[in-house]
Amino acid sequence: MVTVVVSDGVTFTMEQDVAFQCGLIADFAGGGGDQEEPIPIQAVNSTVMRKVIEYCEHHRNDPPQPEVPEGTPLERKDRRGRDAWDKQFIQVEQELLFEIILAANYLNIKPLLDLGCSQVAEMMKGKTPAEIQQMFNIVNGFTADEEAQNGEGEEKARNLNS
Amino acid sequence: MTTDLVVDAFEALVQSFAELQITEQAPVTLPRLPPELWEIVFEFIAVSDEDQVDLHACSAVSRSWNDFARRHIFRLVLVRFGQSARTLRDLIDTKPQIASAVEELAICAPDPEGETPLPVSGPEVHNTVKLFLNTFPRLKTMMMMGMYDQGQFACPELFRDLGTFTTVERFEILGCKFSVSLLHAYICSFPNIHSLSVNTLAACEEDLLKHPPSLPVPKLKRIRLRTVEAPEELLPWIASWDTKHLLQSANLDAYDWEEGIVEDFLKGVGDTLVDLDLKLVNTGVSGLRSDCTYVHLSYATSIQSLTLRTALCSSITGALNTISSSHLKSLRFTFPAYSVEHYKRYEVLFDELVELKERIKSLKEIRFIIKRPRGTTFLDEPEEQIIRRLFEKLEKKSGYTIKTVHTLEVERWWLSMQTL
Repeated sequence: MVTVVVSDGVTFTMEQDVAFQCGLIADFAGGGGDQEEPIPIQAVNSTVMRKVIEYCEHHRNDPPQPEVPEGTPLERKDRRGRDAWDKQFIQVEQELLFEIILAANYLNIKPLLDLGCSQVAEMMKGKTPAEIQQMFNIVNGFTADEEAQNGEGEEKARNLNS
Repeated sequence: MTTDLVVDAFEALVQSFAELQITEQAPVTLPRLPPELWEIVFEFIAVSDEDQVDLHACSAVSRSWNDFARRHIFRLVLVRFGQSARTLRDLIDTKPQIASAVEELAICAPDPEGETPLPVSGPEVHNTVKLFLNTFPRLKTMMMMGMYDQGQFACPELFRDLGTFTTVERFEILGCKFSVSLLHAYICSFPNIHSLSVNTLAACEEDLLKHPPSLPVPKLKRIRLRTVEAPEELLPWIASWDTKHLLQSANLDAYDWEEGIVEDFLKGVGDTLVDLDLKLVNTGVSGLRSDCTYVHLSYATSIQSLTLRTALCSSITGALNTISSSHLKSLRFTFPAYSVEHYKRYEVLFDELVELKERIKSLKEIRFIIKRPRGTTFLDEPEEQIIRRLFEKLEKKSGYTIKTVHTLEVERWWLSMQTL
């Protein structure tokens, strides 16, 4: 068993095959037996850690991901697809979604990182620039002229594919 | 996306980016995620956005997103010789900043129904390739696709004088006809390649073995040969390259292997190779060959991951007997399945796997990938049940444990086993 303590002081105990899906925890534990001391996970709170553990428990029996050489073009294309459970799992509020992505990155769980990032990508599909700006509260920094040009470019892009 | 559409997209993009070139960095607010994670998000957008509408929308969200989007829109450039190549050249002349976004360049043979007839003239090919290579300062991947037709070789002798391009790390050739001599000269233009992929390569009619030059590609780590003609000429040549200390991965699939060819290759590179993927015989339509032999793997002393693709279990058992690597961790078998009889043949393997488990202590996982043509229905009961029953016999015999059975696709079953 592996025990971790997260930023708000909550302790979680997991079986090894669940915990070791987190590269960070596997590195901490050194791949060995049970850990006596809880592993501190300061960058993740208990709400997010519960989601992370839920994901890792569901995928504990998955085959290992094939290694993809660094820099392979469009390497993410061949990674684990999203099944129905994944799609349901990642349907969360935007704030929590971003927290999950940050946690997956920190804990080094590539499939969960991909799942979260692909969900953000899904959210952006079919949206206009203004809708995306509003959705993510983005300040664009364009001048008025640039915005006008953007509009033209967008129009051309849409015409191109219509 | 068709090539023409790609080139049309260039024009639209050039317009949309006309006044957005990075002259100053205005303050930008990125929501919550650091740029490297937004980069991953953009990769997902790019993968599923063949018509690039979403990337165009993202490019107009903010300055930094404009930068992200541009990198993805122009990361891969596909051009055909002829009009599309000329259009791209003109666009780059007009907007040279596009060039810095291009990381992958695929140069395709002309459209057979297009205005440029086959074969393209030597100087045209040479000038176009050379121009593009000199234009893209961040080019990492170079692909040549379908460059010959009716025996007319479209990559000219002038390629010997292409120049040197040090940023290119991956070089892929698909559907080309080369002499080894010319291929050698061409690859020498990319001295820093880590990965070489040769797919559907036809050899020219000349005696290649007379003067096989050793290729100076000291960083080559991965090589992939798919459906190449004349492997008896290519493999010894590859084994002679100056890659002895780095070549880690080889994926070999030829029309046929002559006896000793793979062994000679492994003699040359076997002490560094950690990943070997080998199609033992032609397992095409019939999936069977009567003259099937097996390869000796005794020279692959560092191998950690081994994949064998064949329809014949006897080829596998023969090869497994010769494994000498004490580092072997993962074995993968890929079988075609055309009848129930194929499944029964697996039992032949089991005794060998039991022995192997005793002999190779490092072996942690065996994976069976069973491929069956989509839509075939030769089974009276669910295939998964047959496979499970079959492999339960192996569990009882050997102490292996079936860990998971996954349905990957309609035609593919995936069995993963671990030693206890």
